[in-house]
Amino acid sequence: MRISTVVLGAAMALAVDAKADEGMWMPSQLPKIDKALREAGFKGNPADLADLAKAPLNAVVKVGGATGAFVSSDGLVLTNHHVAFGVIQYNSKPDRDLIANGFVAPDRAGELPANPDYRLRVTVGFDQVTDRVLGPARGKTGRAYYDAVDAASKALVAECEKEAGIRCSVANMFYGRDFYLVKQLELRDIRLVYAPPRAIGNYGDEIDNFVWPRHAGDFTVLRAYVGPDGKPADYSPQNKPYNPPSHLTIARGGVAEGDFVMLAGYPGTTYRHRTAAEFADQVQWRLPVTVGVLKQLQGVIEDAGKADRDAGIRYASQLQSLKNNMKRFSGELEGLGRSDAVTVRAEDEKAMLAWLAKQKDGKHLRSDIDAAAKQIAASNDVRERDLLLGMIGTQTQLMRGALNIERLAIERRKADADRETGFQQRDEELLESQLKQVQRRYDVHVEKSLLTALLARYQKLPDAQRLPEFDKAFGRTPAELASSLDRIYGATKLGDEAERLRQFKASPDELATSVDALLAVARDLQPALLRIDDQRKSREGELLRLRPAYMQALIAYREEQGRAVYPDANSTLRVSYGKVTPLVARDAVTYSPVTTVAGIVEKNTGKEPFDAPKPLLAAIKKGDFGDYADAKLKTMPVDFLSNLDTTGGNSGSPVLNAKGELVGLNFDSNWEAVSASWMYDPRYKRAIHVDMRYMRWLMDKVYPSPKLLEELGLK
Amino acid sequence: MRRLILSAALAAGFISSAHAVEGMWQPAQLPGIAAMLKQHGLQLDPSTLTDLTAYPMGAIVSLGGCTASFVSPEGLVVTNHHCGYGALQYNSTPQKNLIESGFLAKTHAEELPGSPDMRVFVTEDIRDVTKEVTAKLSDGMDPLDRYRAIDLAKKTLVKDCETEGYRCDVYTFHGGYSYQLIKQLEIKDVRLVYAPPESIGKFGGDVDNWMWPRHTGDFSYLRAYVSKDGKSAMYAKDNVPYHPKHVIKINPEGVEAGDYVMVVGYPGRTNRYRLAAEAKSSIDWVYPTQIKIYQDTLDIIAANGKANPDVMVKYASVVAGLNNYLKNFGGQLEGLRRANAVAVKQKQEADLDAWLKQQGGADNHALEADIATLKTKIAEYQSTRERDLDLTLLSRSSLFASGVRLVRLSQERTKPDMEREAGFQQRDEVRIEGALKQMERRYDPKTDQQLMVYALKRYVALPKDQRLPAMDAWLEGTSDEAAITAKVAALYAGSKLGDTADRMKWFKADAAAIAASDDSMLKLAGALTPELKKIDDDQDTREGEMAKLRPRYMQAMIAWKDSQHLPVYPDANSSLRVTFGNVQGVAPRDGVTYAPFTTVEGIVEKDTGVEPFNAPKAETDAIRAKAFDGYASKKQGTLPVDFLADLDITGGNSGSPSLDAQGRLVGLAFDGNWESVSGDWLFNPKLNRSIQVDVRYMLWVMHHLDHADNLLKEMGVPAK
Repeated sequence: MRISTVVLGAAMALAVDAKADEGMWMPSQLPKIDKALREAGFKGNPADLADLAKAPLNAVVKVGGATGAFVSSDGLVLTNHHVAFGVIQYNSKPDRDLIANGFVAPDRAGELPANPDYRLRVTVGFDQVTDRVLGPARGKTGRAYYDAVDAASKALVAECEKEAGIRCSVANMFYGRDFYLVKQLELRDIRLVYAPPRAIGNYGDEIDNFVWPRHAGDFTVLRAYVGPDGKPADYSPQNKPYNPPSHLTIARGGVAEGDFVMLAGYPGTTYRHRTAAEFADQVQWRLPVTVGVLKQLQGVIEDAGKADRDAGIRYASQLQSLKNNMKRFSGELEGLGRSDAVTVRAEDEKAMLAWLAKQKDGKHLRSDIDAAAKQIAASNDVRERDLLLGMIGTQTQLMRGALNIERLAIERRKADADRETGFQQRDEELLESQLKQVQRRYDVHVEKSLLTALLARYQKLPDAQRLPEFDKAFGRTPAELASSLDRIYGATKLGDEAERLRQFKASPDELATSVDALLAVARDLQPALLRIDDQRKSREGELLRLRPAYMQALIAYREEQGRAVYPDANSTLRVSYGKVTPLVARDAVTYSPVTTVAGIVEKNTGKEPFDAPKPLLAAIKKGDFGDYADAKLKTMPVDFLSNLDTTGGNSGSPVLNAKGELVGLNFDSNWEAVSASWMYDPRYKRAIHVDMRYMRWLMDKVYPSPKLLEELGLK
Repeated sequence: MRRLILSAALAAGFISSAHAVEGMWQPAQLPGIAAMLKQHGLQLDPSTLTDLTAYPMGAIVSLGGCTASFVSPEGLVVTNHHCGYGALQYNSTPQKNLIESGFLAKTHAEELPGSPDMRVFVTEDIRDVTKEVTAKLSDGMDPLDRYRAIDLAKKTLVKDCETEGYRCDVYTFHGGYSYQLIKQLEIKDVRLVYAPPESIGKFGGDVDNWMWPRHTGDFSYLRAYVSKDGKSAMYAKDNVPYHPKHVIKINPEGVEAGDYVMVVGYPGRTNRYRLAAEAKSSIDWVYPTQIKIYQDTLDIIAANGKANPDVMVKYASVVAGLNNYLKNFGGQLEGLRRANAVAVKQKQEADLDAWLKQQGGADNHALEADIATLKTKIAEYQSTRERDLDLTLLSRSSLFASGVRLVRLSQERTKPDMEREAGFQQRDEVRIEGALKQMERRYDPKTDQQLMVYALKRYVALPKDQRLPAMDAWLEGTSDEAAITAKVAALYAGSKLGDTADRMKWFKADAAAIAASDDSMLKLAGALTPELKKIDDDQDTREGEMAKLRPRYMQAMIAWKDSQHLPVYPDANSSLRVTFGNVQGVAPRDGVTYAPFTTVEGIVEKDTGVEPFNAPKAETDAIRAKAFDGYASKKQGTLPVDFLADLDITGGNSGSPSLDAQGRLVGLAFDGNWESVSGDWLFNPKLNRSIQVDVRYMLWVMHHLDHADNLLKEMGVPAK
């Protein structure tokens, strides 16, 4: 990213590290950036990292929506405490509170089975299938292109999953340019082996979330089991430990500022290669407007809660989630502003297009790029409306339920394979449970107020953005809106759970005769919603067809500059590399890259979430850190900071040193890096890892498990 | 001398930092610690610092609550923006808001008179008067008699000392272990010369208060005026600038990390030698209760200010003060807990007790017994703390306070001056008059009533035996808020004290006239006065007891320290002190390091355009263009704004000059970092830092942004 850093440097008038360690690389790209990796300090052979289905990368697994790694030949898996939290909670009872007390399995028989839906996936295949996915789509446009890609992908997955115990998916790289079939072995018997108490694993909780300096011991050890035949199986006492094809080795040494580190994991989504127009939309419109709407909804709920305590309780978790989102979006906006992301991206794109104009096939690519830009601009024409209607689907309870019931009725008339994603037979259980949870999270007054807030904004939209079905249902003026909501909510019985579930189970024909006012409105709105859906898919199809031209130009342009391009994150296995790095957060404030146990004592108030367990405080006071202490700091390290490129999904990713040994476990980012999903700013992007020395010390001296240390090769 | 550092650190239970020095030293103590001063880098002869009439001490003055320095032979005084804030506020109206715009007088004629109660005190003499004060005391004395004997001795000393235009005060050290008589020239005509806009002088506002990193240009300039014949005089148009004997030299190059620096000023109060039980009461009751009360008071003012912007202008000073304390109390609590203050003090007391026992002998046993009594008395006094607090709260109502003050003054006036209660003597009348006058700019009847209602709501919850019969008689049993509100409304309706002319009329009236007045507030105040006096007497009795017992504790403490060859500095008591150390950053907590200097780049970083982070556009433009006009630090490559040093300061030190190794001004102390807030109780050398505005930033703002070149020239700062 030399260009962007140079521009950044000029814009911000601050020195930046020229060797910015941006990049979430596909393993197959690593041999290509061999030189940069070695220069950064990697001691191994990058070619050995090229195949993610081979050692050592096949030791990196997907677990519970995040990342983990095999660390023993008998299937021990190391991941974050927060990633395995569901497992710990599932095994906790009032008289055996594993959350509070932590857990040390006495022996293998004492390892505790995870919740039955907890899964661990080992990647066993990663093959390019671009031609098979795009072949049927070529020559098509819009919705047809989308459907062809969708159908080809579904077919590939179905064929791949014929093998027992295998889950498959198609990964889209570079926004439609390349497709890969990911084949994963899915293990279903996962057991809890070792977990620190909550007050260690999640020390600081929400208050410290996104914050450095950090002092959490965010790790947990699990073990994967398979049937006696070695195949994936549901939990059974007869099962035996899974022998992974490879496992990582935990380092005996530690890390210090400036040390090379790398990380492998499954980052979720990034937007780094979005167009300049999309950057501008995000910063200038989407984030500020979304924050504005969320703030209004927050006000509605808070006011209601003040007037009616019961309503306050019913909406507590929705309020919490609104606040979290607002905080996140505000942080992202602040960060993108600080990095001047819109200008930086715009200038980069301008330079790319200027370069492209001079290339032989430039004109051809340019016409697709321009067509893509038009699609993006067109979606901006209705962005206000789409944002508001989207929120009706996420921020209401009864309305969302009614819309889902009516949509399901439409989909139920189709063959299962043809049904819309999210409305297939496999999804019905989830839809039903959503209708059940309404009971504790709904209040008619609050719901009407939320809808009033959203629809009043909708009523102010220009005609071009409005939908006749919505205008008819809710009127064109605030007065009409108020009276229609009063009428609808006054004549619906969906507030009653039995009634909701009865309507959910009703056949499409029965439902069509229902006179419930809310269902009637939901029914009347369906044509509009289907139309919007259709438009969205046409646009996505077009972008799927056109964006590869943009990516191709970008890749060629970067190659011309001698630089490789990594695809935006898409939950597939990636590798980042960098070094242990301090953070100059702001004028006169420097954060050192390693925290120590002294910080645990400093933060400790005795009250959650700063209530370190007595044994830990006693051990810190005793100071028996042995070889685990940091030679330079002369005390016990806890967490460390690196400039590794990460995003959500990287939780639990193993952090390796130059020799490929495990030195840390990734678990969070700093607040200044919230905007990194759009732009990597080397001044501020940091990742937070728990130091393996701290984990080993806890396992040795505080909550001892000699057998575990032995199995990890650390005794 | 290294032992002091080590031992002070050990006593506080912290790892010692090689360079931190605890202590607010009396100038006379400095030759005794000369080696340590040299070791830290002082280039002057320490003995030159003991002469208060010589350079540099002779140039350092008190503003009564703040410190300032003379910086020109024409009586120009530099202090903090927040110390000159009252003068800015006094001269501001919603139409012409000097707080917001800043102010610069290009000529003497353009200078604005400060509020009538503004003062500049120039110390001219200090004399030990312990013998005189304690001469008539005996061990078996009744506490109230002891108090009165001390009080009378002090007043006599003051009276003999004071001449026209001078103010004398007896300062108590170590709770009564020694006394000093200090004579100060009292300059009463103080004018506003220059202040940067609030967006510089208060940049960061209450959000950044007590915080580092800081980017505040907290400085302003006043001028001291005297009558044509050179005497102290109230404001008069033809007064002339005062000519100080000494003027602080400016070092426009400033200081850098590690450099020697000292702060000379008038620290108000510290509690370093308070007992564990007192720390515990503060943690468990005083601070939490005050936090609630201050927040409630702010809410009352804000609610009225929302409806009427004029209220916000009138109460701006009060609000600033309340916010400041509110944050301070939070910091005290946090720091006291973090430092484990109660345990540290308990251990110190136990160690002292053990040492006394080990020494043995009748004298030491007597000390042990007195210290035990001291602890019992302290526990006893805490039983009426809520009532004492409620009475203080009642005085937040300006109308009530004025009534009580007028009644009390009229009654004290019937006595010979020497027998009058301290604060109500002839010498105090000018100040009382000033306070009664300026009420007109700081009084809103509606807010005032609500503050009184608030205090009464707490009062009616007191146990019966702590209540005031006259107050209960007036209340007639009302206890709910609505009834109290109605009572107070009637009280205000029946009083004309809201009118300045009326207050001035009563100020001049005698006791009989006031007693005969049918003004409802004067009637209530009249009824309450005997009971308030009784409480005052109880208070005096306590002080008499404390005046006997605390010096005994300090006597033991000093002997104990002396046995370890450690000097003991007295707790701060608003007398002139020196603290020295070095420019240095701080590691406030695990993983975090603060640099010793902030830079102007940080202003741009913090700038949001919204108060209190609304730096003037001219400033951010100049910073972006790096238009530093030669004021930047060569070493740092940019313009520093504020800096940290490991100096031991507290409230009252605001505006104190920070002097370099040669005694030249390199900045003004204006705050401490968050970790130092609880430093009043325990100084932590590892974490406590003073915050100074850097002279280079001051000069640059004056020259580049505000074009105050007339002042630069007057101070003799070479043009850049």
